Amino acid sequence: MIEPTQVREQLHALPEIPLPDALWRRVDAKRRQKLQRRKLGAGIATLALAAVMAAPLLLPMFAGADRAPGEQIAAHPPMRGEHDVQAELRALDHALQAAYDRGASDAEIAPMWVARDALLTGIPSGNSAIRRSRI
Amino acid sequence: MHSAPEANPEEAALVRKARWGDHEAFAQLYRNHAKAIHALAYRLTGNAAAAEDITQDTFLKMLGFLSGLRDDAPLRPWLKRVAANAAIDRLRREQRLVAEADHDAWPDDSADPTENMEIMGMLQRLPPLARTVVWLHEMEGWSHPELGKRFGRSQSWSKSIVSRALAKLRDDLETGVGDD
Repeated sequence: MIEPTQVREQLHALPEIPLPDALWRRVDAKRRQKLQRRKLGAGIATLALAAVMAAPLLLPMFAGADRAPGEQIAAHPPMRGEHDVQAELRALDHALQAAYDRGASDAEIAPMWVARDALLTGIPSGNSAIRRSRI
Repeated sequence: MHSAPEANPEEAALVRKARWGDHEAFAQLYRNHAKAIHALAYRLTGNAAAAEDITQDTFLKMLGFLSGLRDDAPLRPWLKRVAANAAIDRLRREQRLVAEADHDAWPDDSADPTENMEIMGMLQRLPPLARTVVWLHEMEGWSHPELGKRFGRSQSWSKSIVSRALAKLRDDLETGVGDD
């Protein structure tokens, strides 16, 4: 009569499985691809973030191009309206979603959340619907 | 489960470096663990191509910042757990689980006895589900509650599968099947 322990011994005694040599090349090639995609994603996310952050600064310059010569520039930059903030939020949300979809790193994603929170902080308290929105 | 191994600070440093793109760190981790992970994947799936896919995916998952691998956790058990889960997912995707539950395809008499000459030996004659469950229980230390939960079944189901698989293996050993 074979004892259960003998079965276990047999299982332990099974021959080793050889590791295919070609597997390392395949895994390393995939690793390189993954790193390249991560770098590309980080670059795109950084550009998107920079564009979102710079938009409020650049908008008055473009607005000024339509101004008649001699027209006085306003003493204060125009206040960002709710629509502007919502557009920036949408852009940030898209960038965040894209970053999550491709498995971006925490280091890449964190600044986008900071920027988003900063945007939300500037929204008047009446706009609770925007404040609550999370992806 | 077996006694929990200690976390290795040097290994944790290698993982951090590998995640930030260090080729040599990744190569070192692969050298340390790939053989064990590939062997486990092969034992669980009985398929060379599937074992390679699972090994590759397991090592790439290790590089992810959101992989759930903590710095203070020993790497080998984490890699094994990821590989085992991938093998189970693959098994379930292939709907072998459903087919076996519905048709009680036990034992797998359709297997060619000459296959016992192959490297998987007597395990190869077990149905894929039984092979996976019995290996995880007997060799990797998964408990019956763990197995039942992971397969969406009860622990009694796991006990039954393991018991029948071991009985089949004992029977094969006694009758000399696989010793050709």
